[in-house]
Amino acid sequence: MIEPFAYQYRIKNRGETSDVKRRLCHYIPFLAPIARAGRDFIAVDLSCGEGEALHLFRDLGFNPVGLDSQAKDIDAIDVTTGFTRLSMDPLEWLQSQESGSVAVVFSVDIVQCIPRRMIYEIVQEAFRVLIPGGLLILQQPHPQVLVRVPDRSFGAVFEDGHSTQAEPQLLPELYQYVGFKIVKSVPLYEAVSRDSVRPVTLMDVLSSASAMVGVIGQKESMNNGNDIQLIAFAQEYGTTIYDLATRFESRIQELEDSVHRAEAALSNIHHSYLWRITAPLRWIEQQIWQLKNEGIKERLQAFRLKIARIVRHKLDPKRNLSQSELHHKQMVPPSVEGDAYRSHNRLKTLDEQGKKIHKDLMSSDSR
Amino acid sequence: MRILIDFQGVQNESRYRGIGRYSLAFVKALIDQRAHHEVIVLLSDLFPDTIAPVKAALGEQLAGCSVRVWSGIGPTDERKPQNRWRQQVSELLREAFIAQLDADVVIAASVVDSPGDNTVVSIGQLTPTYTVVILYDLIPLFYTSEYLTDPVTLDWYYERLHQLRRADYWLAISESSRRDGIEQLGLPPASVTNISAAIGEETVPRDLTETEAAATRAKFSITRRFLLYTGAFDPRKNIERLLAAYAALPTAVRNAHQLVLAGGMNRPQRALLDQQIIAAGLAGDHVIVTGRVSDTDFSALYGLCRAHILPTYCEGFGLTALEAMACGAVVIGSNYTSVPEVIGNPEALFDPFSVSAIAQKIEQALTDEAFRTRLLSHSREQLKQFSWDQTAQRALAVLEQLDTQQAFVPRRAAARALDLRRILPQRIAALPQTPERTDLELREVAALVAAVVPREDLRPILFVDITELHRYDSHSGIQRVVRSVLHQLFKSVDAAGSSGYRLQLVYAADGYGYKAAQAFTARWLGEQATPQTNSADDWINPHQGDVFLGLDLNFNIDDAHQTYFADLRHRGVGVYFVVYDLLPVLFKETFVPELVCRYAFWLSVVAQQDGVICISQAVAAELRTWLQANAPASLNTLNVDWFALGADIESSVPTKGLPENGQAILAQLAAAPTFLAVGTLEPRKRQAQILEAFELLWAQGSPAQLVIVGKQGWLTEELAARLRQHPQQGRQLFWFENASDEFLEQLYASATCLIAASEAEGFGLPIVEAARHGLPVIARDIPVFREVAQTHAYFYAGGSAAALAEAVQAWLVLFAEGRAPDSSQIRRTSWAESTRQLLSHVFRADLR
Repeated sequence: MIEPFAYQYRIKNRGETSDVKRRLCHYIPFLAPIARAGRDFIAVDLSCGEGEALHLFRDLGFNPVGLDSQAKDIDAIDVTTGFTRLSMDPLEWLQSQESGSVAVVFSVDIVQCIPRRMIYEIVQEAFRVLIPGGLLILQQPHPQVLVRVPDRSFGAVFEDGHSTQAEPQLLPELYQYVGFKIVKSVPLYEAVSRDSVRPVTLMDVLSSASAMVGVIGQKESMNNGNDIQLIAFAQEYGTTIYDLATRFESRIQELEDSVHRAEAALSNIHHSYLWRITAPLRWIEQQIWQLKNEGIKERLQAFRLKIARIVRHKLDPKRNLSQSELHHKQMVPPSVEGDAYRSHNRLKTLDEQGKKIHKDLMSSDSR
Repeated sequence: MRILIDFQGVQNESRYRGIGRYSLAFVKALIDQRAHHEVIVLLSDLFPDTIAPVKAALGEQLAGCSVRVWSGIGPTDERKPQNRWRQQVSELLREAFIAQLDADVVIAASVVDSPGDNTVVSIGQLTPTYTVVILYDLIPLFYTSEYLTDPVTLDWYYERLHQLRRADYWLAISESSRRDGIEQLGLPPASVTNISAAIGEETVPRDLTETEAAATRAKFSITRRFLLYTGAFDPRKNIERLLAAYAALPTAVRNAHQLVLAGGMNRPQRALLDQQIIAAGLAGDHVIVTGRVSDTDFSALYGLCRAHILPTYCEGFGLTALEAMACGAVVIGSNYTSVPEVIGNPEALFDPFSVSAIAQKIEQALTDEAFRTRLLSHSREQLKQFSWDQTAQRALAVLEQLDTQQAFVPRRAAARALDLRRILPQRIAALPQTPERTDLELREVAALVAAVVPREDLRPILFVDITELHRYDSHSGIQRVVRSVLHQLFKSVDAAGSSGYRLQLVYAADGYGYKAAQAFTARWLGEQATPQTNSADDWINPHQGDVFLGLDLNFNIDDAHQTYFADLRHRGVGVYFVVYDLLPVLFKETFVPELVCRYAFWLSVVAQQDGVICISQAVAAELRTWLQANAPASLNTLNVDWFALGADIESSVPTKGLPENGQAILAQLAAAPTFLAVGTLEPRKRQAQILEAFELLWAQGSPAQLVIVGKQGWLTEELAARLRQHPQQGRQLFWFENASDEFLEQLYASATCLIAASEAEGFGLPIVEAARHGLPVIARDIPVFREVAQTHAYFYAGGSAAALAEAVQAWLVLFAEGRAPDSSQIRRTSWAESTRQLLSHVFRADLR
């Protein structure tokens, strides 16, 4: 009774095959160098489902093997691709393999649906069967996401009754315990990327941090000097709930600041009410006069410079914003980018001496 | 002399006009003619998009000058009151920048131009540096009703003239401009010199083929012989009288010749011109108005026209007449302002206010063959007086004379004596403020001030980039070099105490900017009360005269870093990088494509800096080859040097320990000739060839033993398996995957010979280590091994097992006869010497 529903629920919530494939791309930087190091390395997906990971493995140059103990969505697999796909329990399979025979052991949704004891045994067996330099990749939901959105965080909760929610540090510690040399947790599937600049909402804090975490272990480095793997291992990934909370806080702070400024401005207006109330008239008159005298091109240029000033003063110097990112997001026209980016960099790298000079300038200001 | 040239005229709106063209051509010639003088080109980063194009426009001349970029805060258009504060701050920042460049003289290539943009030129507001300006013309002053109608622009113009008059010396572009400067502005005649002008490189005189000529005629609908006017259509250009004069020509002459008016104009000018043409009764195809014309078309029209006319009554320098003469045209022109001195022939001149005089001269130029011949022969002589080289020489002669009169020395001394640290913030604080000024702006100004005022300690700082080591010590070969050099750097700075420079370790932050590795340095030096976190590390703020040395290999850089290095160089910071090898770009297939791509980007960025120091001559040669193919322009400006790596192991901390049966193995090795190969198992290191060679030798019954030391690397699974399962393993073949430094030392001591079979290396450390033990060396004949071992190794070539087996046997014969090359002769550099060599390439002689 439960199985047709579980299947439907799974298909509905895990997304299209293409979505699943897209999400797997995060692992390519880790997998590709392994695939390149030798021919026909075995890469196994312990819970292959529709087999998206097997496609990826094959495209990278691995010899893919898929396991699915439930084997209930067999029709979804393209039989023409000729993948090895076994209806076998992951642990049994691993136990049947020789030591040092598999390059990659992989699963995106096995951890949360098997008992802890079995997780332990799988990790230990995986370590045994991996070649030196081989990778174990297990993905699990990240508990930091308080409100889950199906698209990013679906776990196979109906597979059986267990649904173990492992705390995020369990797997890395376990990896190290069984002997993995390099271990990294890679947070994935965040709705707000770590360097996006869009304003963070409260709902983002609750739901937009990295929803899953892929725990990657490498069985000793395959190469000591020019360690190619380190590129992928050295990077930082994902967004934490702490990042989001901090960004949310700073937004509120900015709002408070602007309220203070607005209050101050309001009091100024009260001081010279009549002058202010006629300002738009004067402004329009001035604009018409300038348009007549300077021409449309000149006015457009002036407008551009004005926008440039506004944009660059809106940029938060604490945030790391690269010019290509500005460009990529098309936040501002290219001509303004350079200006904004320059000011941003100057404010960001203000050193102690600069701060002192700023203080001096401020104090002599108030005098 | 150190000559500084303010080059904003090539950056601002003027770059499209005569002033921009003049400045560029003049400066290029000045750099060519500079002789022993130093030329610094000063750009403004208030025109950020123009910096790269200006550098590109300087082309080959870039190698003969240095480019500095000062920073102000914009917008600064001084015609708008809300910009006033920013404009004045920027003026002070510019002059402060000039002051700290310690120049003899500043040439302002344009003072009065380009209203409405971020041009900032002030003279003598802060620095007393001797200033020379180029005087183009005073046309708006003569025709205020035409050019300065609105009061804001009028004020702007008078303010600019005021700045112009504050200069110390003026270089006029023509005799007529010189005269105007003296008469109208009251400039002292002794301080104004005419340096003249010349045609730009965009005018290319050449003979057109029939087809080209026909094409040009067709393009502009020219059907008959024609009289050509080129230039703008301001009233002073006198086009209305030209039309009237053309209309007054005898009918036969007029019908045989069209009048071509070539040049850009705005909409009102076009409308007015159409009216004038109709009013003169010249409707139809008598007059052709081309609109804006390309440089090539200009040259073609000059070459094709029957005659060229310049009827203007006010011109700074009659350039179009000169261009036409250069292209072989018959040229007539007005006898007003600068036109007579350009044409140089009274016979070719007319009174521009007399229509009949103009008409008469036109008729003569179109029909009188004798007159035409005289004009042409005269203009061939006249042309010789105008060239950019002559103009530059005239300017240099003026400067040299001023120098001998000691005009610069006291000014330069006064500029040096300025206490910028105190004065600049004071002056900025004293400026009247605009209500719009924000705190962020003030903060930005503080950053700009901090970058330009000298530090309290005047010694330059050597910033050493150790980003990778700072992040993670992976004990790689590169990091061993980094640690050894750091060790020496700290020692030399300590030892000197008063050494000419200070040392600061730095690491890359995310994106733009570097931080001082203060916590790391404290840990390194083993200081007590060590701060454990990096959070207190401050941003670095390198100044003019400092050096940034990319010692550690950190090739994970992006456009933000590229911008940062450019900013450093613009400030006058020397930026240098150590290059360890080019393996990722030379052996692409053995690396991840992303790494290859990043490495190539890193190299291309490195190529834009001041210099590169490679770890061997061979790497330097490879780099030059790579640059030739991938960034040839950089070879003009980039210094490619090299330094030798040190060989004394004492400075790195050796690891200890022997394998269980170590002593027994060493005893066994001593019993027969033993060959040693040291290095990670990698395809390019060719351990496979060594193994196969020894298999051949063993098959022939050779007692020789082979010891391989090195961990397993990429793509060597097959070789590793062969080694593990080899029948000779433990008998004549040994593989130590994890030999300690201590055990390796003993292996060096007990082996007979080292084999260096690698096909590509940055340096070749095992050879030097073997040399330390006097262990002879058989090496593959590649440039880097030749460089390291010179003649003191036995070299072999060839990739086959047989080739190496033969080499080993041949060497054994030599060895038995005592004639094998003696490796102890190999020169071994100490890390102290190595570091000295490295520094010698990045520092001026007095600071090493």
